[in-house]
Amino acid sequence: MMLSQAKAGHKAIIQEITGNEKLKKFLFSLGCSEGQEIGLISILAGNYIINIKDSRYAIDRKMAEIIRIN
Amino acid sequence: MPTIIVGIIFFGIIAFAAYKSRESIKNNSCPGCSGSCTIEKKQKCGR
Amino acid sequence: MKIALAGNPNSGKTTLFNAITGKTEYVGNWPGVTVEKKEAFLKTKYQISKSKVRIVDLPGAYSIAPYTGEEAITRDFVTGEKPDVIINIIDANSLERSLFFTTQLLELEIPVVIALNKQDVLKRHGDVIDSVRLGALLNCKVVETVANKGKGVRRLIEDAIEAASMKSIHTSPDLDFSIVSDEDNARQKFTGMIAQECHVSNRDTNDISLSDRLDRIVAHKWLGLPIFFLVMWAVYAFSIEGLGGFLSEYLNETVFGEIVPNAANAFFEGIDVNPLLQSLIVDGAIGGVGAVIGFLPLIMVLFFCLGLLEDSGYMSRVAVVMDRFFKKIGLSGKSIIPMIVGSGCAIPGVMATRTIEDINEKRMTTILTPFVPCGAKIPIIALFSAVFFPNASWVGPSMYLLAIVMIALGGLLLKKIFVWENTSIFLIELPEYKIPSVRHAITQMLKHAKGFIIKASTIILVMNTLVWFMQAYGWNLRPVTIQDASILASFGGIISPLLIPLGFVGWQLAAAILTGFVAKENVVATFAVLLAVASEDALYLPGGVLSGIFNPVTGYAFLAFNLFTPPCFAAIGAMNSELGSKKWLFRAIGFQLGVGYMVAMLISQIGSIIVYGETAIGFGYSIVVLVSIVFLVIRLIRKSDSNVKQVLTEAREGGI
Repeated sequence: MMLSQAKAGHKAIIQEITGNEKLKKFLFSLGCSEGQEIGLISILAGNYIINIKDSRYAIDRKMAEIIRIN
Repeated sequence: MPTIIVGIIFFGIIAFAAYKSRESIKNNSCPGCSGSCTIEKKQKCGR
Repeated sequence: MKIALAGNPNSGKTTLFNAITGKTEYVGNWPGVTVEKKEAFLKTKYQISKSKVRIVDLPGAYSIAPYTGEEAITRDFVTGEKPDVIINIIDANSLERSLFFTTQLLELEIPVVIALNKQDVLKRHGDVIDSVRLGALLNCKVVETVANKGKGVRRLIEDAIEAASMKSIHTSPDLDFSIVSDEDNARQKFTGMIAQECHVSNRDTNDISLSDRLDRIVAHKWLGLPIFFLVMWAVYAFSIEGLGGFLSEYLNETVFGEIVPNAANAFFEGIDVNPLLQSLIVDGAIGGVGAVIGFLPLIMVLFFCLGLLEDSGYMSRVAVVMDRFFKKIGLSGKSIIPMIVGSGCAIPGVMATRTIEDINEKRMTTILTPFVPCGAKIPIIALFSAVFFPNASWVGPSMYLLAIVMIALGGLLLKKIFVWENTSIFLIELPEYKIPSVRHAITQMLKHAKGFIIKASTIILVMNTLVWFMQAYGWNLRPVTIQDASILASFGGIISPLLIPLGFVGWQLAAAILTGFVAKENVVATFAVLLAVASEDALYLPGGVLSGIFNPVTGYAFLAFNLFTPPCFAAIGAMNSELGSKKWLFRAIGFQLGVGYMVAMLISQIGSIIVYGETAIGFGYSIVVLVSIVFLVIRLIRKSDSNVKQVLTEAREGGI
C-alpha cells in the first residue's frame, strides 16, 4: 500500500518510490528509498510525520502517495 | 564662526552617512539590514 | 587559507560560523535560513599561524547533487572555488543520513575534517558514537563538538588547519559495487555499514517522544491555527503595547522629547549658532532620527521574543500547520519560511524564496512576503497605536492578523489572475523541540538593535536632513514662512490628490509615504520633522499633533496603507533579483500598490461609516476607484481564463 493509506504508528520497509527522477534522488539523499525503514509517527493537519534514519520530517499527502510500503 | 564649525561637522556626518547609504544601496540593501545581494553575487542571485 | 563549512540543513553550520568568526549571522533551525554563502575571517582567538584564515559558511545540502537553488551554491563553491579544507558538520543525531553527503565530499580531493556536532543532545538521548572508529573507517579526522557552547571548536580548527597545510587528500571511500551497480545505492550501503559499526543506540526513534506529543497539539488540525495566532498575538502585544511600548514611551517622550532637544538647543544657543542651522540639527536631524531611535526598546523586545520562539523549534511546525491552507491558494508550507524570515526584514525574507523549487510558487511568495510587517514597519505601527489607540492592546497584533488575511486573499487573487498548477511537494525536517536559549535570543536582539541604530544614523539621518531642507525652503531656495509654500509641499501636492479616495488629506501624508519608500521608518521621522513646526509636544503623545491630520479610522487605514504598499526600495531590489524579470517586478509592484490602496480605502470609508456614522472625505471618488479596480480585476481574470482554455484546446488538438 501507499504510505498515505497507513495508520499512525505503522512501521514498514519502503518498497518503491514512484515520483519523478529528481524527487526520487532528493528523497534518496535523505535515506528515503527502496529497502529502507520508515515509521509513520502521526498524521497532523493533512501532513504525515515520518521517521527516517533517526530524523523527523513532515511531508504532504502528495508525497505520501508516492511512497509504497509493505 | 561657531556656525561654520558646527556646520562643517554636521555636514561631514551627513556626507559620511550618505556615503554609507550609497554603498549598501548598491548592494540591494539598507545600511543595517541583514541580508543583501552583493554586486559580484548578483549574477548568481539573479539566476 | 580558505575553510568551507558544509553539511546538512540544521546541522549547526552557521552556529559554528558565528562561534569561530565572532559574527552574528542569522541562525535558525529550519532549512533555508542561509541561502547564500557567507564569508568572514577566523577570530584571532583561534588563529594559530600568522596567515589569515577565511571561513565560508555554505547553505545546507543533503547531497552534492542540488535539489533547490541554494544547494547549487554549495556545490558550485566546493567544486569550483576549491577551498583548502572542508569542515563537514554532522548532526550526530542523524549520523547515517549525514554520511551520504560526507562520502560525496570525501571524493572531491579536498581535505575534509568532520565535526560531529550536537554531542549534548546525543548524550541526552543516551546514544554513543565511536568517533575514533568513524574517523578510521572514513580515513579522516573526526572531532566531537557542541558548537553552540563552543566545545571542541578549538581542536576542530586546529585539525582543519593542519589537514589543509598537509594537503592530506583522502582515498575515496571504498564503495562496494559487487551487490549493487549504481553509485547512489553503493553509497547508501556504505553509509549504512559505517553507521551500524560506530553508532550504539538503545532507543527506537520510532517511539513517540515528548516532541511528538507536543506536535500533536501544536500542529493539530483544528488547534494549530488558533495556537499560532495566539502566540503571535502575545508576541506582538507584548512588544508593541506591553513592555516594549512602555520603554519606548519613556525614551520617546522624555529622552528624545525633552532632554536631548533641550540640551542641544541650550548648547547651540550658548555658542551662538545660526538659528537656521540650529533648527536643521535639532528639528531635522535629532528630531527625526530621535523619533525613530525612540522605538529601539520595542524592536529589542520584539526580536528577543522572536529569537526565543525560533530557537524552540516551533517555526517549522508553523509551516506544517499552514501548508494545508497555503495549498488552497497555490502555495505550500514552504512559503511560510520566507514570511517568517520576513518578519525581521523583507530583504532576507525575499531571498529565502530561493528554497522554493516551483517557479510560480516562488514568484507568488516573493510578491506576498513583503506584506508581513517587518522590523521597519514596527515604529509606524507603534506610533499610530500610541497616538490613536492609547489604551488598546489589539492594534499591533491586528496588523499582523490583517497581514495574514491579506496574504491569503492576495494569494487567491494572484492565482485567479495568473493561473498555475501547483507542482511543488512539501517536505520539512522537524527538529526536536528544545528550551530556547536566552543567549541566542539576546544575540538576535543585539544584532537587530545594532542594525536599527546603523540604519537610523545613516539612511534615515540623510533623508531627514533632506526633508527638513525641502520643508524649510521654497523653489527660490529661500526659507519659507509657511510650510505649504515649500518644495516638499509641492512634491507632496502632486501625489496627494490620489490619496483623497482613501480619506487622506494633505501633502504631509503624501510626503511621508514617499520617504517611506526609501525606508519605512522614514514615515515616522518625516512626521516628526514636519510636525515639529506645528507643536512643541512629542509626536508620541496620545492625541498628539497627528490627530490634526488623522482620526483613528483614517490613522488605522494609513497604517494598513504602509503595510501593504510596496516595501522600501532595498526590498524592491531584492524582489527584482529574485523574480529575475522586469515584467514580474512590475506586476509585483503593481499588485502591492493595488492591494495597499484598496485595503486602506476600504478601511477608511467603511470604517468611517461604521464608527462615525458618516462617510469620510472622498467617498464619491472612492466608489469610482472601487468600481474601476473591480472591473479591471474581473477583466484580468477573464483574460487569463480564456488563455487557459485556449492552451487546453490547443493541447487537445495537438494531442489528436
